[in-house]
Amino acid sequence: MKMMFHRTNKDLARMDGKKFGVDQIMTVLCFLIMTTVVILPVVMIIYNTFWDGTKLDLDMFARVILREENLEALKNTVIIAIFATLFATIVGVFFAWLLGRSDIPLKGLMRWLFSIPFMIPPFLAAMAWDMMFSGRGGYINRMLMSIFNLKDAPFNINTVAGIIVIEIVYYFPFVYMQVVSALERMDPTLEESARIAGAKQWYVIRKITLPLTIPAISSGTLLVLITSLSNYGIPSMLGYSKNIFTLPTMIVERVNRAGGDFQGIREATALSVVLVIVVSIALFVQRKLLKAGRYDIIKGKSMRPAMIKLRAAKYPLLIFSIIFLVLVVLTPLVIILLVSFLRAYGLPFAFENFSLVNYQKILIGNIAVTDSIKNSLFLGFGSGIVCLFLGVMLSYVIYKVKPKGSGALETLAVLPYSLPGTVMAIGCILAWSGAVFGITLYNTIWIIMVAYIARYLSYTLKSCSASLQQVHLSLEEASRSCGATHMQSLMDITLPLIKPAMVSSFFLVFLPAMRELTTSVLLYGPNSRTLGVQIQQLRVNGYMTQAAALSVVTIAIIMICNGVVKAITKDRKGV
Amino acid sequence: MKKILVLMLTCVMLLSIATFASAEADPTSYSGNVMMYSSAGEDIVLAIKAAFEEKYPNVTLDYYAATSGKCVTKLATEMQANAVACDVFWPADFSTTISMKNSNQLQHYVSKFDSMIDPQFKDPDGYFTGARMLVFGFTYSTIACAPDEIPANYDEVLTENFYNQILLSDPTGSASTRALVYAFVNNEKYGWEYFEKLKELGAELESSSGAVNNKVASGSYKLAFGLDYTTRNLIAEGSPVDFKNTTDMIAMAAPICIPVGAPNTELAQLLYDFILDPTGGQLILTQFYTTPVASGVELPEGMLDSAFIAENAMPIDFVDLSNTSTELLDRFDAIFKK
Repeated sequence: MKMMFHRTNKDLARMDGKKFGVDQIMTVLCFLIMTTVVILPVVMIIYNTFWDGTKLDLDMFARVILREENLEALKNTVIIAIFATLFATIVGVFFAWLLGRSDIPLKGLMRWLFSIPFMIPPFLAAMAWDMMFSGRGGYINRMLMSIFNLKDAPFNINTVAGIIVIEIVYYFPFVYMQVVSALERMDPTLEESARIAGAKQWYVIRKITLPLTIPAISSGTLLVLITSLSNYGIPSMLGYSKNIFTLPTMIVERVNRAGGDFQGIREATALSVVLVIVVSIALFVQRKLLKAGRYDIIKGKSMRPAMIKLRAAKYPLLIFSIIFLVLVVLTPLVIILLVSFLRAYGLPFAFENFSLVNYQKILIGNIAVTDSIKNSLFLGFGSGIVCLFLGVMLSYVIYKVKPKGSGALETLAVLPYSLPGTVMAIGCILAWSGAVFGITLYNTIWIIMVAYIARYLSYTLKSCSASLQQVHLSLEEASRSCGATHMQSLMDITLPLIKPAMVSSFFLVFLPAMRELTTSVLLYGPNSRTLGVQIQQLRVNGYMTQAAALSVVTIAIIMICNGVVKAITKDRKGV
Repeated sequence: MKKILVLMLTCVMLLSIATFASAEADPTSYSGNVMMYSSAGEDIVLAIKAAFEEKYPNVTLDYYAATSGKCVTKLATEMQANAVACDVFWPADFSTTISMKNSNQLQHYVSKFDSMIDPQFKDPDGYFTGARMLVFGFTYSTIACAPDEIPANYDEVLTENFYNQILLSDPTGSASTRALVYAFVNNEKYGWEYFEKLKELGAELESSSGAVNNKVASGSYKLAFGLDYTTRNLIAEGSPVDFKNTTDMIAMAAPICIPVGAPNTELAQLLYDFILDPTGGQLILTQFYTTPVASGVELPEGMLDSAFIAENAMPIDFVDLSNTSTELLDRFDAIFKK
């Protein structure tokens, strides 16, 4: 234990007259929680991958990895992830700068629009895009073909490029939310000094602003990367009919093919191990990159960076942003809304085909729906709050306390997110069905809570750590020199400074948790059905219009919760 | 002699009454929770739950309703963890239950309604029995094509009219389509050439029968190899689709079984019987356009009788399908996924 804390600030604990200070308690807690929530399910997955029940089995792993279709899926996964991450980062940083540092109007509206992609279940969003741009008679394709008398559809979303575009649209808010928070808390003197020294606007952005937001950009980028690597909904919806498989869709394919044979399921877990390796490499590279510089840009001075005047570019940029947001955010939402009002799926969007019957069916006397709403609210708030506090504690331990093994701690926190939901669920069932100290959480709501915490902890960790890295240690030291205890310094100085990131990170967990599907679908029991599961159940049973209606209700609930939490925290930077 | 005869008759009568009384025990004497994992539509499961709980007021029927693949994965993982929560398992096809039976994962149970089920639709050794029928036919878009465009049989779709217009669910994820593929490739009239021609004709795959129906309903494809009950549900909703039975009939029964390790075997058997009861679960199925397996069920107009299906459907050797499933899927993928 002594070795573990060799780099901690022992002086701080001694100042409080304690041998075992707050830092050490937090460090031990972090390791304990990570072991319980993350290591157990992941170890169960790895154990079952390499142990066939009687002996070590490495052959299966090699055989599965080298299979031609799996290599093809790996190639697709990497191509989609790289391009989606690259362009989502560019789009996210651009909008973060525009909203965080420029005087563009309608910021409130745009902030609200950015939160919408998080609220739409990926398969429904993909379905909406498919309905518009499918090479097989998407609405917009048909319209363009009719107007311009075209023989073939001008767009085909059922391609690798189509999947990349939808992932960019769906994921750029990850980067936006990380970077806008960092930009708004940035010490403006650095930029001001550059400007006073004669630097032009673009030069300041390139040489000062962007480099200082590298932790936030890299956090957002990493989130996009691992989300893309592990996403099932979008490639499955858009690529299936054209045989475009990624690792997550191939993993589910393997699970289905197993037909209940656990040896077959092991093949799926073997593919998951590949994803874990890819994400570990990405994390390693990120840590190496961040080691190269210092990013503590919030110091004890003015905290309000000056807004950059866009002058003549103001309204062209506003028009561009509104068109972009309406196209990529509102259009799919409108399609889902229209489908939710259709009497039956497949009927044309005409007034005589609209009715409220779907809302009536799902909202009046439907116990399954009311139960799923209650459960999802409980899970969304519960996992959001737990992940928020865990994320703050973890990022403080990793980036400020820096105990031995902090790199491992970070990797552990991020790894579960790289696993497809199905595989994580299998790990949770194996771990929490009495295998560990006889504890059985299976078929209760708590196993879903534990799975969500493991799955979404990376969101809060990345968000809070990016913000925390910008807080200079001098601020805490100043507080300590004025007589505050370590805990007081944390509560009164550090936490308020990263509050915007904390609120953002709560929503980063709350929003996807409200409509999560792939993990909960295997974990839910008779009394723990979630909204995502209920939407999927309606879809699978052929009630597409009711599924759309329930999605609209879900989005409305999320928006109301967002508004309530924003009002309580009085922080407009929530989402 | 007369006295002995009277005494014997009295004994027989008393024995019959006692047997009857024990078979029809007081429904309130049963209590507890029973868990069913089912790939049948949730509407069906909810209706069965309501009727079952009405008949046995002290029993609660909990359920997990999902696709057959999800149900199988959940149960397989529970078995691996020695924590089975499922009492009655109702997947979509026999190959799953055959493979579970071969791995000694099923309990032996012969229902009192067993005699009402055709031998084709149950396990000869009494480990599982069919509980609902799945019948394939043509699901077609009434927007994209006229009813007279729809051929009478599978081999007649191989025409230019259906170029790039045919959809089917992927047999990897859909156990029923897997059975259809098996039936075709083991039939002289079709064989693997049929699927090669389908591929040449631009036929495409979707992940599930739900996705297939949605694509046809939206008019993106003219026709799909669809299941009767899912399509009829869509028709009832008002979707622009219709269903046509084919001359060569592909049909199968979705089985129920009791897994080894089921926490409540007694209630599992009670539910098992209720699902097979021609006046219970089997009758409920008909309300959801699903053909019952048991004979003696009052059928709505137009619904095929299971005896007729047993007589006319193309033969499917589910034991062989279960043993050769991987090879079948590999060969299918080699045609459709390259």
